[in-house]
Amino acid sequence: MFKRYRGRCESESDADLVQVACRGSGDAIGELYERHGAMVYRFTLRMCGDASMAEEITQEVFLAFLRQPHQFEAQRGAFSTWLCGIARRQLWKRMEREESFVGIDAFEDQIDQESSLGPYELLNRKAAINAVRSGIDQLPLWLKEVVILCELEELTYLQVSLILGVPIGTVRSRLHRAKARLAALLCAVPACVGEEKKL
Amino acid sequence: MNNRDVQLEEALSVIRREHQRIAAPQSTKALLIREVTTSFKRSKSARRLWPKPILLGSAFFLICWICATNFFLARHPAPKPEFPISTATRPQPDMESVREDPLTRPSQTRAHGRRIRAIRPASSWTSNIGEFVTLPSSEGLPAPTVATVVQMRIRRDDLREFGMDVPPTAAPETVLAEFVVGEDGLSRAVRLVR
Repeated sequence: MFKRYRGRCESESDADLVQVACRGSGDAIGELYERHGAMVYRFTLRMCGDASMAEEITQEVFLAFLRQPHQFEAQRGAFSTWLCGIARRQLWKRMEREESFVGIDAFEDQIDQESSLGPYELLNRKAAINAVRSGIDQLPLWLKEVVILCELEELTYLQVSLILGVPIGTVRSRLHRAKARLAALLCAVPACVGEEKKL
Repeated sequence: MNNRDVQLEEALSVIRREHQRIAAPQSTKALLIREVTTSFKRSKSARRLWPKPILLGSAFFLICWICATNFFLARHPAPKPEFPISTATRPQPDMESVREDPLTRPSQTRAHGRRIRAIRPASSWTSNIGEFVTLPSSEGLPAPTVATVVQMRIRRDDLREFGMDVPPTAAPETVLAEFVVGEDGLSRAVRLVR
């Protein structure tokens, strides 16, 4: 049965895959992980800054789904949204327990090298990116999660509101506040300082 | 949109690209697949096993229940009804006394401690109080091998159906009577208790 199913995995909807995974299909859970595992992992990694913790939480999220698959209701939201919601709850629990906030060192030097900017501009741009990146890391968690989900994961306000369990208006206002804080950080970047002076 | 916002958007787009390049660890995928397949096998084998304990448990419960019921009935026999009027089955009388002519054999018999007096032929409705009298309607019927005494309250008027002589003045009265009923369901004799 599973061999026959293997070929169709990619065209199936999440809800169908969830049902098949509940019946014990390794291929179906593999496909679900391929589709949504990265998002859950990225989100948790950005939030906690610890790769091993992010991996553990991702694993726990999927295992929680396998243990209680009936808790996912397809009509209430997308599977990815539901997974992210669980990941967020797990993350908050752990962070409250451990109170660990680690910076993301692994991505410090990954800067877009493809641009054709001059050395001064490149330096400024790099400085701006670094400032924003470290700014995101330093944001309080309730703002950080909004920036990650809305800006980095490019989820809609509705999806984010479902994940966070807050109204859409709250998501918007939090994002606005987070962006204002990040923009304020750019004042220290030379190019922006020059622009500010010109204005 | 000022320069700061533009720079922020640029920086965010770079970080976004960088962020979206992060892949989920493959070790987790392998673990999940293994977990699904093993737990499914486990649940399948558990599903195969569960009927056995349930069946054994039910059988054990049934046996216990039967034993307890028997024990209880042995310790507490059912009480005799105080007024066994309607269809109370009484101990069977010795039908020798019914089969033979009661006048030629007026002996008394005992069956299960119940005394059945000699059955006399019916004469009138008043003369048979306390004694069994053969019913005129049972003449010509074969003698029963097994008989049952049935006690019931009837109108005296109804005794006419059995060929008894009842005066019209006493007809509406009800009386407690015991009928000797054969295995064919036909009454052979009657006795007026009260």
